[in-house]
Amino acid sequence: MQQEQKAAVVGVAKKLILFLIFIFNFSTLDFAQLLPANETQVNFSGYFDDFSVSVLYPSISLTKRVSESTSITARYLVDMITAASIKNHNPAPKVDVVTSASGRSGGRNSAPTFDEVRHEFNIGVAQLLGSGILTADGLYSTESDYTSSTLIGNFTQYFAENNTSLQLGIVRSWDKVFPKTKNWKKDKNVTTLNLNFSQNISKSLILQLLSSYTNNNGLLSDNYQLVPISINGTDSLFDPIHPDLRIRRAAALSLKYRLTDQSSLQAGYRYYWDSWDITSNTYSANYERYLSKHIILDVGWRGNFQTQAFFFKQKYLIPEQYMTTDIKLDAAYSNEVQLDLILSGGDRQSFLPFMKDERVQYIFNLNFYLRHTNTPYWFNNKNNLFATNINIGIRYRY
Amino acid sequence: MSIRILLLFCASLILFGCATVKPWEKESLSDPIMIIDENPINAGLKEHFLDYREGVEGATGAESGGCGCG
Repeated sequence: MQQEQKAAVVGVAKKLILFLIFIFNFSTLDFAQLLPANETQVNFSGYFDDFSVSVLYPSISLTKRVSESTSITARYLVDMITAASIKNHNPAPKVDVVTSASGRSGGRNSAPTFDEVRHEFNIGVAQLLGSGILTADGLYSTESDYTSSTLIGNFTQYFAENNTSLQLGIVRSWDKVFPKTKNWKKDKNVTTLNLNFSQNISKSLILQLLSSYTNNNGLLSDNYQLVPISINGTDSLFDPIHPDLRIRRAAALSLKYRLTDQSSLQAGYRYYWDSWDITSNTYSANYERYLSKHIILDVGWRGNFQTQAFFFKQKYLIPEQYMTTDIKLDAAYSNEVQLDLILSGGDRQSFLPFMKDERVQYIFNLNFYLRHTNTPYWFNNKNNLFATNINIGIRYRY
Repeated sequence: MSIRILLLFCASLILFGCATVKPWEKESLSDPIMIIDENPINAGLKEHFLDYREGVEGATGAESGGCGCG
């Protein structure tokens, strides 16, 4: 009996090895175009909201094909956060609960400075394997009170004359939290599994299905968020307490349809649900149109409608097992309007000299975001957050 | 719920896996306006600020970096 089992296992192993040999030896020439192209991309991005948070986050990325079947990517991003914060209120906490950044030392009338700077480094490789692509990325993010190390692996297999693709992905993060105002260091671990499917349905319609499963464990609260509790008429600020496990799932469907030679329409829907009782429905629509041969306009809308976490309250009367006033865990809806302009070079007739080089692409993104929460945020009594996100980017392909 | 979504996913694989657009018909699909997330770096940057303003994330196809912004 044991010998039969052994023979069966050996049989399966042989078939698996033959399958892998077949996959890896499949001609790579037809798939070389699927590898990321040689390019340098620089982005200058900014986020500004009416909770007095401003973030500047420039980034640079380089992609280089080192062989016919391999390309490598390196990226550097820096987040610079400045915020007029809760500490302008009385009593003044020592930290900024909006951005998580440690408070400025200059007092309420000090000139804006960067409260927090985060550096993010990313290096990745993409390797053609037969009719598929394997990508591996390592990411390290560091700031004064938080570090995050992430490994990302994806394998995309193409089928049916490249009309179908199936992607399997895993993301694993090891985060360390060490607030300046506390004398402890805690871990947060995140594992995400992704399964994505894309299909060319006709010469004018593409379908994409995406799904993800995430396990978060460890310290899942933002410890610069605070929970005010009034005990015997005296206001005290407590640390939030979140469950130390959160299972998050999401599934999405996206369709892109060519309307005319000059335009396309993309519609998307995502359903999200997690073990903290948050569910959400996210809808999106994008209309893309050539304004000229070298200019594309992309106008989009995204709406998100979410329920609240089971332990979220605006106010707590006594300390509880779990407690949070983190406003993103409240029931809310948000609307985002997006306006993108992509200018591709190569227009030799253009009177603008920077539009003549066909290797250059200029990107302008403008987003307006409005979030409405069921309960007002306790420290500024606002239900609505209005934010603007701006990005100017340059891609240089060579 | 997750089993239903998995079944839907598998059914889609079977149903759409048979549809084939011939290489000479793909010119329209390779046009920049027909590529979903033509610029993945930009998609990641957009995702980054949403992750920290909403209690939901995932199934977007974009990756954004870990940080302590909440």
